[in-house]
Amino acid sequence: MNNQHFVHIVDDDSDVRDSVQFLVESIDLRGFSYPSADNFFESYENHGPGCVILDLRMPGISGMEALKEMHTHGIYEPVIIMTGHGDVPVAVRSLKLGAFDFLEKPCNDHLLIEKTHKAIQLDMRNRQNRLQKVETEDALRSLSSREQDVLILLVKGNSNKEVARLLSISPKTIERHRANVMRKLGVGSFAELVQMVERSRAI
Amino acid sequence: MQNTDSLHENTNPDSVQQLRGEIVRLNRNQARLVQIMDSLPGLVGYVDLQLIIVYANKLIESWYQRPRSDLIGMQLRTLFTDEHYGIVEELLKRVLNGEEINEERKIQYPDGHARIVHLNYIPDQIDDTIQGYFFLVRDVTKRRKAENALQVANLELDRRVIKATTELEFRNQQLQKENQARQKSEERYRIVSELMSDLIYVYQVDPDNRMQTIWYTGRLSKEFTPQIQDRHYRLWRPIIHPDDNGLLDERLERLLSNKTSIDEFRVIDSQGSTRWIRVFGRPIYCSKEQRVVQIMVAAQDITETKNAEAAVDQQRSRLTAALESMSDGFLLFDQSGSLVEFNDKILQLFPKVADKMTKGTKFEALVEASVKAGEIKAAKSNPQAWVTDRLTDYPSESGAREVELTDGRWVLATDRPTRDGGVVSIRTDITSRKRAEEQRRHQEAELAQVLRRASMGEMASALAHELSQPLAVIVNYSNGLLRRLERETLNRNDIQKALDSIRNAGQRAKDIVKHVGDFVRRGQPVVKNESLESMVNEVSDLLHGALIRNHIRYKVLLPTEKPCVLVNRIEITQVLFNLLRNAIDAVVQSATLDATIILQAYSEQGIGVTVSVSDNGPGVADNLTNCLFEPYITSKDSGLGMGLSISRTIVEGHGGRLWLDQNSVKGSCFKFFLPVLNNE
Repeated sequence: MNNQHFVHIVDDDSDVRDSVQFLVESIDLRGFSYPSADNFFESYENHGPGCVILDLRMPGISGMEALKEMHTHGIYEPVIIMTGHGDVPVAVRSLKLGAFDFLEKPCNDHLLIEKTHKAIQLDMRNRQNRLQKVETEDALRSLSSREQDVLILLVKGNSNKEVARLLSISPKTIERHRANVMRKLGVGSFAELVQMVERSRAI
Repeated sequence: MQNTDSLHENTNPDSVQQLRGEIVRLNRNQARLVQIMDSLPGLVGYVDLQLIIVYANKLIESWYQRPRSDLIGMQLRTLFTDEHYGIVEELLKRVLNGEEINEERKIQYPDGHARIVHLNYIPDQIDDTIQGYFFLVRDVTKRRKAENALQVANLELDRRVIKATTELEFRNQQLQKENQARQKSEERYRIVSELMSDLIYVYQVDPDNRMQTIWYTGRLSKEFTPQIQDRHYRLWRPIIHPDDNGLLDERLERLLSNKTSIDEFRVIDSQGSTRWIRVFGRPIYCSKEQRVVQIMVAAQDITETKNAEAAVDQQRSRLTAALESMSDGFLLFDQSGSLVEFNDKILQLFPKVADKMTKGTKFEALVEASVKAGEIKAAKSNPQAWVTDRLTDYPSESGAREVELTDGRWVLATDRPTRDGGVVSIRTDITSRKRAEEQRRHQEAELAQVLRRASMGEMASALAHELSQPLAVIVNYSNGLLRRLERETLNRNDIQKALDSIRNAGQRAKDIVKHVGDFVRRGQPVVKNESLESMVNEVSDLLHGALIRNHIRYKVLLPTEKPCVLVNRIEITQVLFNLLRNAIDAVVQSATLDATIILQAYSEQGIGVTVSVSDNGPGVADNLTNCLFEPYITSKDSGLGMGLSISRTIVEGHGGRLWLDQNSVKGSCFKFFLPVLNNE
């Protein structure tokens, strides 16, 4: 991890905001700070893998509301919630709304860094998965409609003969379509093919 | 005059002196008893069959706001208000039917006090005939209010009245014994009486027992004397009281059988009044004839003496009955400090020195005996010092002392000087009252402790919240510096920036702590004249950070005349803090746009100050408005729910009130009112 990774800090208290930025930059992360959730949504740019550190008590859009609206603004980075002392019920509620984790202020720096790292790792995996999904979808779109029909029936568990009968074409032709699909999707075995289709559905 | 001489031979002047002394002593006893009665903390007296007050002690003057001379002889129907009469009417009927009354009623008295009184009426009954009743009316209002201990006291009183009644019976028996003893000394008395007799006459007795007056001298009194003529026989017969007819027959029989007879009987005089006559008859026996030949008679009008004696006896027994009915113990000391009267209750109160309670004992000796017997708890460590101290306020016109006994009982002691230089001491068992007081004090202290702890908790929570911001800043910069040091990526600009920020955050934390310190530390829980403005400023400063950080518009509108209120500053600032804190939480939690909080005060000259704290947040949910001020009710995500409960307790403790203004259009508006106000 290095300064190719980004931490977005949203806190209305400029002192706290700057101090968190100062801290994360000490471990070679890039910090961006925002004084409010509105400002964050307006000026967010997807620089690369990272996470969000969000203060809950803020004027304007509260931290809780901002948490709900992240995805509508195209922000997928995991969110670490910062709460004041003793706001445990609020923290629990934020987790239910999809926050990655929460920290109590003032927080232990090891904990902050550890959680930040974990969040960034998760973001990297998420990004990887999103990328794969896009690639798979592109590859699936490159198949002819006949090839797509064959693929769907095969993945459902039908044998070559059954597919041939269902589509009223010869098993030989099925054989050829199957080979083309595997080549286009870049998989070496039928098992790999099934996995790939399943994954693209899952994402 | 041989016969007259023989009478004079037996006279004894010393006995006259003795009799007079006896009467003087009786009168003095009566005066003392009246004094005791007047010193008693209850209404005591006697009412006759026509419901006319015959006697009452001095307290009646203050309860009825009239001189006693007006009240004695007054009909109860006239004295009592309709309402008062209505309350006791049934009781009066019952007591005059011979029933003893022992009841409690609430009665409004002319001195403006509505008292809960214990009414104790004891019928005065002689031979199945009701003469009237004794009353003992005690103000039990305070005791009633104090606690359930009253029940115990009532039971005790019942027991006491029964005991007092048996005591009375015992005293009556004693009186009878005394009378018998007096009759035994009749011989001596007779001689005295003969000397004092006004009418002396001699009968001659014929062999057939016929009699005639052969000699007489003097008359009974200016007002009355029987018509005596020569040779008159049986001069009392025509005027004898019908009930005493038999007495005369027996007397005659005795005399004729040569026995001396001394008799007292009633006659009806020419005005129709009853008079008491004492006659001494002495037969003269003739041994030759073997019969009584003459009877010498000395007669005396003893109506006045008899009446006076009866009055004193009656008065005394009435007073004794009333005193013995008291649930308090009493002691009476004369001018020389010697004990002259006491009741049975005092012996029960101080059982260990009961044997020392004898007439003639000095108060000092009783105190010392009591201390020596280990009855007095406070005297355990230094008995002599306690005795000395005890005697400093003895007697005292107004003082009362509460004394704890070693067995756990409490006694209230009053020692009032009497007009003639004696002292009346009254001892009341106040154990149950004391226990109740102690328990209440304990509960109050506990409650105060709980409230204090709860409000300190709220304060601590607020403090922690305020401090978490600058502390986070300090910790983050420090860790950032340390990590740069480790990685050797530290540069001068970083150091400059981090240290600047750390210093600022430290300063901020220091300010917060200072405010809280001022807030908590100051003073004892004393009530002083405080400026409303300075209290508002103090709380505003404390919450300044929260207001700014949350971008809340905060307006303070105070009266220009700068009102002062007589309050406990810490408590009222706590109330202001709680209300403002709630308002801030309300607008922050709901992320209200253009959040505004207004603190406003109005003062009404001579009446009080009303302070309102309003916000434009979501307001109080309908389901909370009713129970808002109860403990543990909160609409916050975190919080104890004690703030409003404590605040209301505090405000009510200042005689004011705290409420939610239901009229506010938007948001919530809390108001509190503090009475009594002066201007700066």
